[in-house]
Amino acid sequence: MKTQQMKIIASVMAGMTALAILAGCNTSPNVMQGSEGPAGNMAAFISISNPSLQNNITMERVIHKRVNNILQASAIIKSHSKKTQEFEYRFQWYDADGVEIRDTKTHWVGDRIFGMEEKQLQGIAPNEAANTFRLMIRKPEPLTR
Amino acid sequence: MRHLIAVLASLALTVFVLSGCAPKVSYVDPDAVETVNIDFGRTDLQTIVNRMTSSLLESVVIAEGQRPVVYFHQVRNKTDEHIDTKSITDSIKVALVRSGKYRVTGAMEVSEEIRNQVQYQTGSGMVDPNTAVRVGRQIGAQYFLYGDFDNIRKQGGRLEDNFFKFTLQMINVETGLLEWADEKQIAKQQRRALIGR
Repeated sequence: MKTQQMKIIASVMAGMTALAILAGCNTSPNVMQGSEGPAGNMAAFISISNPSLQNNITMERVIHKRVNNILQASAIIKSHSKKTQEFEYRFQWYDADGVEIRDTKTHWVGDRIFGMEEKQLQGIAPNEAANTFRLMIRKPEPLTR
Repeated sequence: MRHLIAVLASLALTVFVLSGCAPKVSYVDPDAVETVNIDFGRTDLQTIVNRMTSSLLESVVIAEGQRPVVYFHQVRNKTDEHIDTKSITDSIKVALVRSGKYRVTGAMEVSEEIRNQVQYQTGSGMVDPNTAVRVGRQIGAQYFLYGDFDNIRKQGGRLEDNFFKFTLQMINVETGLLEWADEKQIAKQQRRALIGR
């Protein structure tokens, strides 16, 4: 009887730990960072901290240009699932010294991508000083009731 | 062992009940997506500001390095909700000023205060005339921005839908031409629970 109770408690603890780990995984975003070089070229690298999300939505490449001398970035993402998926994304912008440019419009945006769809996520920097962007993608985490 | 489990269970129950009674206040990320209900919310405000600001920064009006002077007129709230549209235009104004691409005149919003200050500086005898402002040097707005905010709300069975449309337009004061316009549409849905709210 004692062993059985211990097993039940151990199972519950293991379950709660697994849930906590999964919940933790849910919060970590995958990041694409693009930095514009002096010649106007852009070097981009992708950092994966949420492999389960990466299996479903990949960040493929980035297109960039300057509009009115302000950096505009379009990141192309691709769904690898047959189902429509919901996700959130957010752009952040940095100057040449790597200092983040505070902006009133860098909030998380809720979006959806259809099965196997390729989609552009577009952002424009707050001002001319920005030459680097970070695009974060995560599973939805809305503040709700 | 059984006694220990009973004690732990009663303790857990007590904590659960007490935590249910206590009010819970916490700070949350103001940039997170908020979906409390389908009424206008902060994510909608941020989405509109993002769209309008981005579009204005792409406008041909600021091409060739010009920094046009704009005046923000009213955005009429035609929705069925009480929404302070000035809060939306204020956020757009902040983003435009911080971009360095636009100059925004606020003289008409605080004209009385400006007049009082100018009168004090020029007519009270209290201010050194060398440091007093000169009158008649305000810069007139080349463009003014105005818009409308509408919504369509529908309900069928347990499904409720709220569609918002925010339109902003920029008119050239001198020519009367509409030089820029954009709109943001937002659709929100909520399926009500069978039991409760």
